[in-house]
Amino acid sequence: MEHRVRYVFLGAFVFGLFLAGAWAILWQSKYAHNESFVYFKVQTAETVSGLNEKAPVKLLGVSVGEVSTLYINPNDSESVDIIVKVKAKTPIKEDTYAIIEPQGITGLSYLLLEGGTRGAKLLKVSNDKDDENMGTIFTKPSLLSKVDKSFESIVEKIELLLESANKVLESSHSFVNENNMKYVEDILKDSAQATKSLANISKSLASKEKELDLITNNIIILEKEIIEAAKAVKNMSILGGDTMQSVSSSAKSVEQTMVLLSEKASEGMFDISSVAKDAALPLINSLYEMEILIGQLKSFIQNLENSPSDLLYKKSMQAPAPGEEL
Amino acid sequence: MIRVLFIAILTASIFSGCVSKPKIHPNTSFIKINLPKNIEESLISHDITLAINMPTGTAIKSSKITYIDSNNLRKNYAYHRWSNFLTLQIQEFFVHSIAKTNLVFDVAKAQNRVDPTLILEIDISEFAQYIDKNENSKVVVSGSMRFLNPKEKKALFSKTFIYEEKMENLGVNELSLAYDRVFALWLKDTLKIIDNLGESYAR
Repeated sequence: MEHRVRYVFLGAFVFGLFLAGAWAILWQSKYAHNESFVYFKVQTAETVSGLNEKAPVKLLGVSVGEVSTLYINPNDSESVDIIVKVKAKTPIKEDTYAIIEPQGITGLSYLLLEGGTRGAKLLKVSNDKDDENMGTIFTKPSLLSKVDKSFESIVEKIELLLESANKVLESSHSFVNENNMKYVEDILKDSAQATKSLANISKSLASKEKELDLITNNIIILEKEIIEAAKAVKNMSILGGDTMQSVSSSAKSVEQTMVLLSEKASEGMFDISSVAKDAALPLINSLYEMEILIGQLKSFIQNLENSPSDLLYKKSMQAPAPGEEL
Repeated sequence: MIRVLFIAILTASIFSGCVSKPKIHPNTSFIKINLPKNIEESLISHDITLAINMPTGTAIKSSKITYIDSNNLRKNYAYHRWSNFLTLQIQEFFVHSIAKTNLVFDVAKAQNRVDPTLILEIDISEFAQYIDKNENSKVVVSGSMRFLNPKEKKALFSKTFIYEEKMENLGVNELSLAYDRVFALWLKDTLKIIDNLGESYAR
């Protein structure tokens, strides 16, 4: 008798334990809740890697549902359809949009719903997840996608920049080609010859000093003779009467002019060698500077021939002299 | 995934520039020919107006410091230069140092507007440092100089010269000091010549 009572209690206990377990499972899977859900479709052209079924759906940071299914749109191979299950009373508006956000460093993602202004209409809800006419939520690019696009744009710009730099280098290379170098060298040689000729001219001017003095002396002698001739003309004019008076006055003015010229000549006004020397001094200075400049240009061209890229970037490094320290 | 990897590598390569060693050329330092410190004033001042022409010679038409190695190859110092072109420095050296002695009535550069009674012409054939296999070194300055009568364009005195000064150690400081010693010797000889000419030749 006692044995039978024990088995009944044992059976009741096991049965009760089974019921409690079933209730716990149902409670955990939220069957106990009498919560209803509605379905929306989210369409995106982005990659949905990291977004799985059961991934949380959040509205303004509040968890309002989960991802039900994901599949590639059969009519558009570049877009993905995500069916989301959202609590029935959640206000999903027509201007609500979705963003795929990463969940920390795990690589998983969740769907963040944002937007949804007060004045906007509620989006059409669907109770069946296979309903083809369910409301569609559109997506905005995620942060990663924005960064990705920005990098794509930067990479494109860098490519363009490199292409332009390449063109510039090609054009500079064509500028610094052998023919142009030869032309520049020829120009420099011609300049050097011109400089030498100028120096010779200035030297010969200075060496002609004696001859210039001789010419000046001859002018003075000539002037004296003209004065004497003028005097003779004057006498003639006196003898010649009134008609010659005008000739006489002209002769006087010529005589005065000649006297003035003589004075100026004696003052050194017509000292051509001195004038030439004064004029040549700045020229000589310029020639010295030009000579130095030509030397520098020759050195520069030689360096450029050795390393044409030095025109843009100083690449060639010279070895220090023995014992040379910085 | 490949795109993310590409972006990561690109970012790493861009920022690697921040840690790479910069390829900046070291600053160039300059040396100059210094006037001797112990220039004595001459007791006699000759009635001479001396004009010093710009020295000539390819060895001095640059501001690079040249050395000749044991293989007889001419090379330049990489990070050191003369502070000005040697041709200008030598001319200024003689103008200022002779002026300091008061040996002549006036001394000027040939480019100045002075009417000289004596012209000094200098032609340099060598101006370099020689370094042998054992790293023994010396500086050599050689060439010719002549004094001219500007009116007759006639040489009153002419001579060739070669000055050598050994360096105890290699290095730019020692090099600068060696050149200073060479110029002090050269100046001393030049002053003697001017003094001799002054006695026989005057305005």
